[in-house]
Amino acid sequence: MPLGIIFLGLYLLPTITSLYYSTQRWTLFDTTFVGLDNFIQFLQDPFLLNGVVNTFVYAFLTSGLKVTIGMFLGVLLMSNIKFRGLIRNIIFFPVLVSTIGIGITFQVLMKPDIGVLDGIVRLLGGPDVGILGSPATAIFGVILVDVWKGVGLATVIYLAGLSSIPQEYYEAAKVDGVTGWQNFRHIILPLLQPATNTVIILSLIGGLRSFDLIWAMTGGGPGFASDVLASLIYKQYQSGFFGLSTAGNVAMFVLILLLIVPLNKFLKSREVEV
Amino acid sequence: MKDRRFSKAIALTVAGTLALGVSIAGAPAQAATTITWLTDSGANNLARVNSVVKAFQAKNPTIKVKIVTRPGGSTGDNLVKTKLATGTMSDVFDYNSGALVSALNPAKTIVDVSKESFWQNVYPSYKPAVTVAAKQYGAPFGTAGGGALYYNTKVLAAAGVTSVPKTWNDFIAASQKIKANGVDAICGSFADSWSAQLLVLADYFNVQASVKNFAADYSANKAKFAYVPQALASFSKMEQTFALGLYNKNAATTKYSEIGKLIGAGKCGFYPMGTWFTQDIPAENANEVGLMNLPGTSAKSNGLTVWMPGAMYIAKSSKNLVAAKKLQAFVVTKAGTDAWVKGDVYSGPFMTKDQTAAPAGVPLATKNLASLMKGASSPALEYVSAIKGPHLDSICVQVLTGQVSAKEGAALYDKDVAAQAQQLGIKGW
Repeated sequence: MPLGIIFLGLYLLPTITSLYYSTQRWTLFDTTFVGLDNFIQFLQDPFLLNGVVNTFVYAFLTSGLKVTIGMFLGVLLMSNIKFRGLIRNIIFFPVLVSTIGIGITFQVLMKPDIGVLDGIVRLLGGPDVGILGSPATAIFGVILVDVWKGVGLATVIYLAGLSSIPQEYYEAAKVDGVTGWQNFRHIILPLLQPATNTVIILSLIGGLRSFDLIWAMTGGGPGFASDVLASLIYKQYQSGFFGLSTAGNVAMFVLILLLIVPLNKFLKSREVEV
Repeated sequence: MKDRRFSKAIALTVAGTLALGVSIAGAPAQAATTITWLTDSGANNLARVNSVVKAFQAKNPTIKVKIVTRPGGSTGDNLVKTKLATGTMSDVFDYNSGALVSALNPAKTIVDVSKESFWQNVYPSYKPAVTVAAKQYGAPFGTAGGGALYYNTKVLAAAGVTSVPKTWNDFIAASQKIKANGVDAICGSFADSWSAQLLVLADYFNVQASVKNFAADYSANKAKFAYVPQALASFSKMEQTFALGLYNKNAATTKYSEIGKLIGAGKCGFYPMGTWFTQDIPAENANEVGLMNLPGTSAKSNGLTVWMPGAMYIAKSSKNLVAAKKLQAFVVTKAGTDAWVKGDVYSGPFMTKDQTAAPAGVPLATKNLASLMKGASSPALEYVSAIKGPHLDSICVQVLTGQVSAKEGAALYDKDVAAQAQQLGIKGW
C-alpha cells in the first residue's frame, strides 16, 4: 500500500499532469488549450534535427565506448596485476564526483589558451585543439568526459559479471588447451552477456537523456552545435515556453521508450544460461 | 535551497514582527514593519542595493528592509515569474524594464503605479519601458546605458588609427589595420552566448534611423530581419567580422568575465558591449578604454542605442503596501539615486530630473557615454516592442562562428520570434 501511494504521488500523477500541460499554452499565470500545437511547434523547431542527431551520436558513442573500455578494464582487473585494488578505486572514483563539478573542471582543462589538456597536446607537438570551441568537435569533447566519468560503473558491473563465471569453465578449457583469445571469445564474452546488457541499457538510457554534463561544459554551444534533445527542451523552458517544453519532454519520453523496449527484448533473447 | 532558507528566514521575521505587534498593541505605533526586496545576487548589484536600503532605513526608522537574492539570467526570470504566479513574491523586487515586463502578466501580479506622484521627477521618455496596456507598473531603478563599442585607445593609436571610426566601412578598415599590427581586432566572448548579441542589439539605432516604421511593423508581424535589408545588415556585420578573422582565436571558449583584462591590457582593439561593462575594466586601464557608437553606413547618422534602467515593482500579493510604496518612491528621489551612486561607480545618467551627478574622475568610457547620450539616440528594440525571440544569443554565436550565413541566421531569428509570439498568444502571429 505505501508503495502504491509513492508510485501514485511521485510517478503517475506527474506523468498525467505533464500530458495535460503538453496540450496547453502555459505562461505560469494561466493556461489555454491549444491541442497538439505544442507538438507541431516542437517538431518544427529548426534545431530539432541537429539535436536528435547529437542525442543519438552521444548515446551510442558513450554506450559503445563504455562497453569496450569497461570490459577491457574488467578483464584486466580480474587478473593478477600489481596495485589492483588501487587501480579499481581510481577508475571508480569519477563516478562519485558531481557531474556539474566535473563539467566545469574539464571546461577549464580543455581551454585552448590556459587549459592543461591542450597544453599537453601542444607539448607533444600537436596542433591547437580547443575541442569545445569548435562547432564540429564540441560534442565529442563532452563525450570523452562522459566516458571518463562513467566507465568506472561499467567496470564494476563487468567485475561482478566476471566473478560469477564458474572456475570449472576455465579449467575445462585449460585441459582442452585453448589460447587466451579463444578463452575470451568463447567463454568470457558469451557468459558476460548479462553484464553487457546491463551496461548497454544503463548507458544508452543515460546517454539519451543526458543533460547536466553538456550544460555545464558547453551550454549546448557554440550556438546550437552540441545541443541534445534534453538541452533543447531546457532552453525552451528557460525561454518561458512551459507548455512547449512539456510537450518536448513527452515526445522524448515516447522516443526513449520506443528505442529501449525492443532493444531490451533483443538483448534478453541473446543471454545464455550459465 | 538557498531561496528556501531565505524564505524560511523571512517567514520567521514576519512571524516575529506579528507577535511583537500583538504584544505591544495599544502602545504608540512605532512597531517596525519589515518588507522584503528580491534582487539579483551579483556582487555589484548587492553593493548598490545595500547602500540604498541603508539610506532608506535611516530616513524611515520604522521600516526594515530585508534583502532576498535571486540568480540572474533566465533562471532568475523564471524564478520571478514563478513567485509572481504563486503569490509568493517579496513585497518589492527590481527587474528589467522593456519587453520582459509584459511576460510578468502585470495586470494581475504587479501594483499599478501610474498615478503615483514620483513620476513628476522622472523623464517622460522612460514611461514606455514600464508601460503595459497604457498603465505604468514600475519606478526607474538604476542608470541608463547604451549598447556600443568599447575600444582601447593605445591599440588604435599603435595601429595608426587616428580618429574614432564613424562608418561601418571605416570600422572594418580600422580593424584590419589593428590585425595587421599583430593584435586581435575585436574581442569575442561567445562562451557566454548572451554577450554575442551586441552587434545586433546595439545596431538598432542604425536600423530605425533608416527604417522608421521597423518596430511597429516588426511587432505586427509585417517586417522580418531576413527581408528588411537594413535589419539584415546587423547580421551581416557578424558574418563579415567573422569571415575577415577579426576576432580573438579562442573567442568561442572565452567568457565575458575575461574580457575586462584583455581589452584593458590591449590584447584586442574593440569590444561590442553594453555600458555595464565599464565597471569590469581594470582601474589601472580606466582611462585607456573608450566608448563609441556602433557605426552605420553613413557618418551623418551616428547615434547611440539606449538601454533604459530596470525598474522597481511592487507585488500585488504584498501585505505591506504603504511601506513598499515608500521604498519605491524613495529610489526615485535624489537621496535614493545618491545612495545608488555611493554603492557603485557612477556609470551613466539616471532617468530622474533632480540627479545630474557626474562625479570627477570617472572612467573614460563613462565620460564618453555622457557625451554620446547628448547626441542622437534611440531606445533599443526591446523597449519599443514586446516581441523578442529568446534564442538570439545562440543564433548570433552560430553566425559569429561561421555555422550559418547572415541571411540564414536572420531567418532563424525570425522563426524564433514567431515561436515566442505564438507562445505568448499574441494576436496576428
